[in-house]
Amino acid sequence: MSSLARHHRLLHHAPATSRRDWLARAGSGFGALALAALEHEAALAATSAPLAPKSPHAAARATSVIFLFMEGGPSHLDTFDPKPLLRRLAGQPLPESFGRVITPMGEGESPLLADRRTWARHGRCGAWVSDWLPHTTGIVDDLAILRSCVSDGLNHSGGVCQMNTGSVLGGRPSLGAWTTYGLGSESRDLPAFVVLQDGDGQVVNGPRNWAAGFMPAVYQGTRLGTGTPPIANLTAPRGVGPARQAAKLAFLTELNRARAAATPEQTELEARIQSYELAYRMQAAAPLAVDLSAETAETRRLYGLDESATAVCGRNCLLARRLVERGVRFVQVYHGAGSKWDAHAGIEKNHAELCRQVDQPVAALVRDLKRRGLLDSTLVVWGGEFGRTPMSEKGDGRDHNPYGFTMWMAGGGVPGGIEIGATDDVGLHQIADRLHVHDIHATILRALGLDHLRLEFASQGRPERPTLNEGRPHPRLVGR
Amino acid sequence: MPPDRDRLSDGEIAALEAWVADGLPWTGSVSAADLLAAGLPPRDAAAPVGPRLRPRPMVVTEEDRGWWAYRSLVRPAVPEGESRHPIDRFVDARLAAEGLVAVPEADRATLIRRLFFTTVGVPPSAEEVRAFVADTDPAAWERLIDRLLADPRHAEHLARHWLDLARYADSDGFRQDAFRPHAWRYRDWVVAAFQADLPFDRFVIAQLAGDELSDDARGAIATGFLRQTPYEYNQIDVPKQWTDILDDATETTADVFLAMGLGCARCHDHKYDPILKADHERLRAFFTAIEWRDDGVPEPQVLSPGQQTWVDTVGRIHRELATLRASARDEGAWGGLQRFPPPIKRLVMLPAAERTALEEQWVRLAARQLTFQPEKLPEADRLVYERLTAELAAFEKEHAADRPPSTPAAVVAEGGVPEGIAPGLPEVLGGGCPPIEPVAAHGPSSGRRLALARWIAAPANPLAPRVLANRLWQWHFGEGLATEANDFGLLGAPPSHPQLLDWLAADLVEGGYTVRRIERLILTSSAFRRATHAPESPPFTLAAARDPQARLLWRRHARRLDAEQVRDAALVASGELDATPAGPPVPAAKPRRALYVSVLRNTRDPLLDAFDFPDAAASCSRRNTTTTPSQALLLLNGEWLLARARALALRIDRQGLGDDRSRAAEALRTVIGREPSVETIDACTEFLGLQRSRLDADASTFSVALSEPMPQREGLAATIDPARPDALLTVPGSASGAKPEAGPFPANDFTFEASVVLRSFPAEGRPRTIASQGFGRDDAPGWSLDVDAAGRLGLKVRGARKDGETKIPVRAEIDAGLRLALERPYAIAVAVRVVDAGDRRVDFQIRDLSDNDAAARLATVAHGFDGSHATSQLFAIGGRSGCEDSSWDGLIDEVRLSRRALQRAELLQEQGSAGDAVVAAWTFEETPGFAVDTAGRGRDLVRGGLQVAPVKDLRGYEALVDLCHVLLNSSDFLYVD
Repeated sequence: MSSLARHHRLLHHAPATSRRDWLARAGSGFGALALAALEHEAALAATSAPLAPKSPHAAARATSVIFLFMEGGPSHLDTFDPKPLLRRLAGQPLPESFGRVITPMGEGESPLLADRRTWARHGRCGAWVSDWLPHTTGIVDDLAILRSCVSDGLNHSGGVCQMNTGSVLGGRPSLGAWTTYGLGSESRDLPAFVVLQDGDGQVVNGPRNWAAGFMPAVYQGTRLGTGTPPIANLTAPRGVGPARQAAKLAFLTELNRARAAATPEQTELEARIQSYELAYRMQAAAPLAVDLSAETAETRRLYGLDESATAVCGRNCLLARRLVERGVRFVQVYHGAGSKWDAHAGIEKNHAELCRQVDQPVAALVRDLKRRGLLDSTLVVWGGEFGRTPMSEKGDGRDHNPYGFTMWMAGGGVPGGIEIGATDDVGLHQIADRLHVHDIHATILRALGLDHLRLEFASQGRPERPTLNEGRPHPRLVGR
Repeated sequence: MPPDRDRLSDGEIAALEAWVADGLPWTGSVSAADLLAAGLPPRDAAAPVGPRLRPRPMVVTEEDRGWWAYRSLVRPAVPEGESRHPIDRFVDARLAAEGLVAVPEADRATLIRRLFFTTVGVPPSAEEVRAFVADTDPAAWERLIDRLLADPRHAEHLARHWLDLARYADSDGFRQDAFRPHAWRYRDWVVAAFQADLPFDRFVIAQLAGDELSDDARGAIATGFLRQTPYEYNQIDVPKQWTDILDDATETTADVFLAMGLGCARCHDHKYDPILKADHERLRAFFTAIEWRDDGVPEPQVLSPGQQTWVDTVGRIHRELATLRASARDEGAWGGLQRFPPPIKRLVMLPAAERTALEEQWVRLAARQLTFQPEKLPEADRLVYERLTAELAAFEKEHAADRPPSTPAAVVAEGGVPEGIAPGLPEVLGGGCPPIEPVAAHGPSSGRRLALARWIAAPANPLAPRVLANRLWQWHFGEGLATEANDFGLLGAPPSHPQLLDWLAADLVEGGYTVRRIERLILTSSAFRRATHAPESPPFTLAAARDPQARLLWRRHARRLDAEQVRDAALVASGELDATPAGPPVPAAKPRRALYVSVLRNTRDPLLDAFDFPDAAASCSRRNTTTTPSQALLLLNGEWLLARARALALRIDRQGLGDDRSRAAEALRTVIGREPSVETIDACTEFLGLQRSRLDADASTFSVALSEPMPQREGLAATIDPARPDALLTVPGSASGAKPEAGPFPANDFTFEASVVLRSFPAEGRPRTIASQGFGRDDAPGWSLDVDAAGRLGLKVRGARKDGETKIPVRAEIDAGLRLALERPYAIAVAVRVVDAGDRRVDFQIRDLSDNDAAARLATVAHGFDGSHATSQLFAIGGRSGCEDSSWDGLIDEVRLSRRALQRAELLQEQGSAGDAVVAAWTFEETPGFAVDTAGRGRDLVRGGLQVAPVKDLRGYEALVDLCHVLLNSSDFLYVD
């Protein structure tokens, strides 16, 4: 007996008529009712296909975001923001004129620590980059370097939480979730919001960094692991072969069709069938997306896949490009998962190693996107949850500094070769063109064509917005 | 609109034309706010979203106070109508006014499943469904309602609703996400309160001010409500964290008891609702005197003289120690203080008398991160400090019996009252302040929270009963009469039946605020019993067009099970649910109700997470209901649900139902709860048959769930998978002390032989156990043959030697010095000699079955074990009884246990060679049967405590597993009509 024939046999009631039939029924003389049905259709479409592509509020420059998150807080003072005065004052306490700050380890009074880098200007734009990032020097003309970033997060938990969700307190959706909510998915067979990380460390706060908070779970990020399978539960259980699995799914679909037909009013039941179909497609698509065997030797070299120091970050950067190519909307890449950048002591050794791990792969990503014509539509963001203090900790480390630090953006319509803002002469506070996390998020959303004040989700009846009604997109980055 | 089509259909165009011709009447049935709630981001800024912004500066008007939620509560007259039930009169009158007709009642099988899920949170058994469907007594429904409302599972189910509101969790959140060892006391208090049908006014007062009541010391446990706030263990911005804690207490209280969204007013006057920033400040002032306490809630009792001495002495020493700590003038005396900003350091070092009350709160919050270092005290003080500490320890030890009992719990109490804004009620609720009187129930307290709680719970308060009545409605209908149960302001949707809501609220108060009475009223209404599907006939077509969301209750919505219900219902279906109530939280792997699974804010159980379990960051009155591919992957491919399907299949298999048809019908009844249609049974029977034949074609994998082909050998081997709770194979009655006819299991010399394949090494420090007897927990006697993380084979033995009347524990860990590689078949033999004092040794022998040329590797290891390893535990293959994390991973075959230490030449020979010494043997073949003792001693194995002997038809069993798994994935299981 064919599946279809069985389908009809199973029906508890007459075969379903489409939702649209209500319209036809209601349309006969009851104009207002018909309109109600039309509105209902729109609402249903939204609830049953929440990931359907949606048009942005305004013309979008970027259609995808790759957020390269250096977890633990990289030092701006040793990478992008040279401070000659810091060398002159090294060993002395912070002069009163810079103001006192709270730092988590209480290093407000500790002697200043000079950087030990060699600095030079690079590219046509002449941006300062330290010798820890030799490959990055080659892409500075594609970067907008943001030197005046500010966060409210003093500790890793609050800092990482805010850089991901806009708030230092948990419970809000991640920026990737907001993006997915606002724009839907361009991919039929991959999640719209994907998370990659290096190593086995747990990103501070764990999966709630890519959670949907008060939004439906459908918007949350999906962790793509390095193992097999790359997504949790992607493959059939051990001992269940393909024929057996396919037969189970087919029978399940048949049962669910019959159930959905019995109450066609419940569109969720149809969505449930579709969710199994999407899951089935993901089983084929996700392993392909993470299969790097089709990449050329040149590409592998470019990302540093063949060298142990750069292989892990290189793989994640290359994966990010492959995901964006396949329509993934938001890729969050954690480097140093488990606060590896958190150089409270021995910053020289710590940062030299971590910079080496990321420098070549990250530069390769920007170059690769560019040569493939993807950089125009892909916004790449680099940074951590905060920077580090000019004051020393334990003699040769630096404490957390959310008062002024550096991030950068590239692509997605953001002009390259520019610098925004500045920190004071020791790199403690931002002093010009302040870019709070909310401004950064508003800017990223704006690049995607989303207005951070019009992107609303009603939680408990209250309109919630991604930047808590604060921040503004920076005009030099994304126009007015 | 669907994006796949540009043009409207002719029908749609006709509908729009008709609407224009009618003069563009607006039903308002789908407002912009509804669209928002439905997840549609508004696109057009010109289109109004929800209500208008309020003009500034904010003035709270009489009109505001007349808002439906705030006006005084007058019980409305019940409308005229045919029904005898007041709720139905209200609902019917509204339907009649709109010209709509309600659908008929659902059938009885649907009703009982619906009622079970909304009252006790788990499905009825097939037997309960059958009995109810067959019960023709008109009173059967009400009897069932009364039974379920009194069922302890009902209190558990209501408690879970309440814990969502209370943002309950067993961990701190933030980076460390430390476990909160006593949070569950509050959870159990809530369950007990619902079980006792504690009147809601007392329920409110206990949670906000239980510590300020003098009648019940343990009542303070309820103030755990105010302790569910996330906490950052290393936050040195102390004033900021204290502010967050107080804001959280304030806003959660407003959400939960007043359905007022106060959060906006933390920083500014509310943009839409008449709520002033000052309202937030004044309400917050009710809470500003609190402090967090973790030092135990005393049990109510009169102290004995000894206990009084304890209290006096311990109290005195603690006071003296505190005085000394306060006298420390060296910042170094406080470990951890160095990190804090100078103002906090200064406050910590300031004599307590010189701190303001607020500063004292900051110091106490900071002190959670500090440890006192007495060595930094001046020499004389240090000596006194050490003497007092020693005195305290000695006293507590000597007088341990006099320690008054107390319950450890996270609660609140009060210290001094900080200066600042005076408490007051929101202007729109009348402003002013209820009378506040200091209390001294368990120490001095300002009485502020008690005053607030009493005002909330007072019969004259119109808002709180509306909020509660709406929640009770929501818990049974899936949606409240007002859909935003935590926000009755302009941003929440107004109630669909305001008169009914007021009537319920008034009835609630007049009926002594008892929850169960109102629940009973709701459940006995016809409105509760409506079908979810509207028949295809004109009146319902009209209703569907006019009120598609069925807000007017002309039909019911099918609802997806909540996260806990998915878990609990699967465990009920598989027969594994452990219904033990109360107590500390358990890991998700335990088959307890989801209510008792640890709620760790940063480490969420994957199943609960996928099904929209709330994040415990803030009060949650309405869960999301999502449908995602990750749910599908988790249910179809994840181990957890598959294990439930296996357990269910075993359970059905064990019933010996004979043919596929009966097995299919039983699976359907168990999972879906109702008597399945003939057609559905046909389809499932057909699936079983087809799946059986597919397993033939798919032979490489078909039987892995229980057994699979042994490499390099003919026939099957037992599969042991650590992910399966039913993996362990045991022999009933095999305790060493037991003396069955076939002879006892060995307690000293023995030989164990088997063929094995290892698929993964264990974690460091854990064993992969091939076979064992006893050797489970702690120092339990017995033996265990294991492979360790490095692949080393070894035997561990524990037991006792009799020395006259005394038993002396003896043990040995005997390393064979032989390693196993992964994925390779080996024959293994271990002959153990302990009786002969001159020859205490173990002979190990390993042969690699994949290499015909490989010689057997031998090892003989002497040992000093000279006792008996007799145990009351069962002989087990593939792990240790009662010891998790000991499971083998891979295959085990050709097992033989003998009662003496065989000679070298006897090892690994054909079965039967050991003769009478053989205790039992198993070959795991389909003939004579997987679990059958092939030595003929009748020692058939059981698996997971269940007889596996009947599973002789492995293909049939596996096909049944597949059917059960499909049914547990089906919408019939996941949705309730």
